[in-house]
Amino acid sequence: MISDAISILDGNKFVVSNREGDMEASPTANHGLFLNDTRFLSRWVLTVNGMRPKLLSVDDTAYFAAQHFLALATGTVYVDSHLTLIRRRFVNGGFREDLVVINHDHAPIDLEVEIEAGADFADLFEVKDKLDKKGELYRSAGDGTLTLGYRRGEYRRETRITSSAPAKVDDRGLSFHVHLEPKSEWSTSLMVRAVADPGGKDLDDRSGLKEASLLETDDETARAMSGDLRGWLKDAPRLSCSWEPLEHTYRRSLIDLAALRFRSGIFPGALPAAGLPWFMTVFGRDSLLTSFQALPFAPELAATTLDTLALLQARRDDPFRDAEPGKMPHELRFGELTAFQETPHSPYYGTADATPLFLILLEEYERWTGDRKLVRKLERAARAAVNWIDQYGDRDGDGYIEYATRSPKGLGNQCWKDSGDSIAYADGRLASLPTATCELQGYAYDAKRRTARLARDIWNDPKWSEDLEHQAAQLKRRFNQDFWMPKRRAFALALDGEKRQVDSLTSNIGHLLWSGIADQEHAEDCARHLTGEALFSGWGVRTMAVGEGSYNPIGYHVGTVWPHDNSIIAWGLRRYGFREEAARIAMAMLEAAELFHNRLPEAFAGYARSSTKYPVEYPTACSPQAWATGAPLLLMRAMLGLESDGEHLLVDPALPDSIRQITLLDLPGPWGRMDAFGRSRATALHDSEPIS
Amino acid sequence: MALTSTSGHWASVRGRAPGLAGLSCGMELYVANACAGAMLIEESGEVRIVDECKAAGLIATDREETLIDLLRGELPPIVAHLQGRLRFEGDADLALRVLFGLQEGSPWAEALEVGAAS
Repeated sequence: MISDAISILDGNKFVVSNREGDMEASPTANHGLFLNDTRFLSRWVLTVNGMRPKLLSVDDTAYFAAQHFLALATGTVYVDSHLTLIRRRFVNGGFREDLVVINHDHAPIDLEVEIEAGADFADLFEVKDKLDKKGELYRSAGDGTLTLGYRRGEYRRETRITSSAPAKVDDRGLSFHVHLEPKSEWSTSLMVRAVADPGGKDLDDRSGLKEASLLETDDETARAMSGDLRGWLKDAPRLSCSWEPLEHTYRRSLIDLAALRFRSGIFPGALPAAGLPWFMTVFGRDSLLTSFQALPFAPELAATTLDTLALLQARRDDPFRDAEPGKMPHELRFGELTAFQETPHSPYYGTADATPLFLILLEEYERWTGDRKLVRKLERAARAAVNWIDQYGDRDGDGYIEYATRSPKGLGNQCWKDSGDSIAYADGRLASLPTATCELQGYAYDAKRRTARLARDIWNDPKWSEDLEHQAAQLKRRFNQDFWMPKRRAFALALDGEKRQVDSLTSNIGHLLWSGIADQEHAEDCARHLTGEALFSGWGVRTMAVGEGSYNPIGYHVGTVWPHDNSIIAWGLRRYGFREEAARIAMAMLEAAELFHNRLPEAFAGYARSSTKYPVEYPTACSPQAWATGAPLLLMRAMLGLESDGEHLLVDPALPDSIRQITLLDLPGPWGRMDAFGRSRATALHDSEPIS
Repeated sequence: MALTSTSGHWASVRGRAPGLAGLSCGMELYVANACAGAMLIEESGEVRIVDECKAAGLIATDREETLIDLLRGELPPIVAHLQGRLRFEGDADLALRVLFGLQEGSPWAEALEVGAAS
């Protein structure tokens, strides 16, 4: 979808253009300047003497900046162009575009340089679902400023466009008459400001939205952003690897994680937004899993994620928002539809897994950081989360978490495979609600075990700890009876509304290994399935096995390969001692990453590797996407067998044959900084190498 | 929601809000750009309004009805914020914690009647 587009971003502020730098939003091109889930600019087209310059090259110089080199075509291949145009753009609360025009000719030239601008102020859901606006668009020109606006009652948003060079400003855009002497250049800076509440006298720069809309488009800000990125990379552990592509993928992941850091101005710190372009906001599940993946590398993401989600934790029963006390949010949005409560995203709580995942991350965070202060602060939130699992997550008292929306705008499936067709029987029929997917039970089991440790070691509540351990053990025992399918020798995908097993073979069984809920006697079957031809494509584990009724290699959750899923599966296989299998999946995924220019997308097609030399793209995958970005980090952890026992860094490498060694320096933890080293035990590859 | 016979009365309400337990802070309240007092929150979650205009954070609303809806825990603070009816100053994170905390149970919800109009 955006493969021919250039995206620059900073958290939930991003610009998507074509390769020339123009923005022409249409049903098939999601171009524009987006901020707080609103498109503040939908048209931005540069012409020179009425012509569109042609692209020479484009370079996304940093995650927040891009540079487009263009030339004015002469209309014939026999005459060189003598006019270069350079568009340098960086995003912040809007964007700044530095436009440079260079005359290489021996003769002077007169030019009409025009920027056509327009804004539809579409809520991101309106972009995604092709909905119409309910308010009124307006535009005005004056004092060198073009103002594009939208109002709906008291709700107002504006985009203000100015330039450093004198411009003729009219409703259509900005134009410049440029006279260039031979071998000379002209430039201007175009400032595009997104303003959240132009009429609000009582909003100032410390209020959340306004802070985001304040534009600091000077060089100092660009330098600050570059410095921030340098600091982020400097703080991360340093990797060296005998297989060079991993080093590139690692660096790409760190940069993309930096780019995806979401700062709202009303929450503490930065946490990972889920993915460009549709999910650039707080997503409970995505932010939690990404923070988990990144814990040994950037633990501060987990701290902010935990703190922010605890703040947004539901306090009351609210069917419209699928909220119940103690439940962690699915998603928070800042657009018009949320403001007018036409969508329930303020926040929306339709996720059955974010609450146990919160508890899992909390315990993992403490083991990797020793930060007991935050864990003490979040004790109340943790207790409410456990209470939600027992009182609300388990809707019918059968001991399992199940879901069914109560909202007319709610999600049908509230597990990570949340598309409508994802939970299906082997014959292709869809499962009835309420649905208890298997991985939810695994998360609940793991959450209770981990919370038991925190209750014992930090909250000084041994009785509760004992209760939680007991509950977890009971859950595991019942789960291995109720979900196991002896004929298929696999765990069912789910129990449906009538408590029947949903018998498709899916990647969800890998999450059961990650959580530890699977009995050892069943784990071997799980490992065999996960690395068998029906699930393993050669590039990764498919979400659904070939041969199932709903299988589709380009179905969002019914056959595609998801990198984050694979990273969790690899870590789960390690947990049960399947070292070679984990390494095999890790290597396949990292090889795919290399072919995706070191940036794994949200998902890719499930075609067998034997039929394609390249992993095939999934058409609407987000990229960068947070948990796909985090996948290489968790895969590295799986290969090196990195664990923390709360005091010491444990390293137990199991590398794939094609990686001879990995060195990871300065891993942060309660120990300060430590190094990890792993080398392959394989000899065949090494023996074939020349001796020099 | 529209309110009946509550104007000014909200400032005399006091009681316990379980969701505010552990916060122990003060929050300045502004209505239509004028200070309307400060909310004092004790460690136990006991909360009351005092006639002061100095606190760590500030919650400002466009009108009294908005403030009361927030105090009652009925109006989602994110919605009010997006509509431009609510702003924060100082510690915005703390202000949000207070407003979300009031959704768990609020003495204003018990003390103030709400009219049927909306």
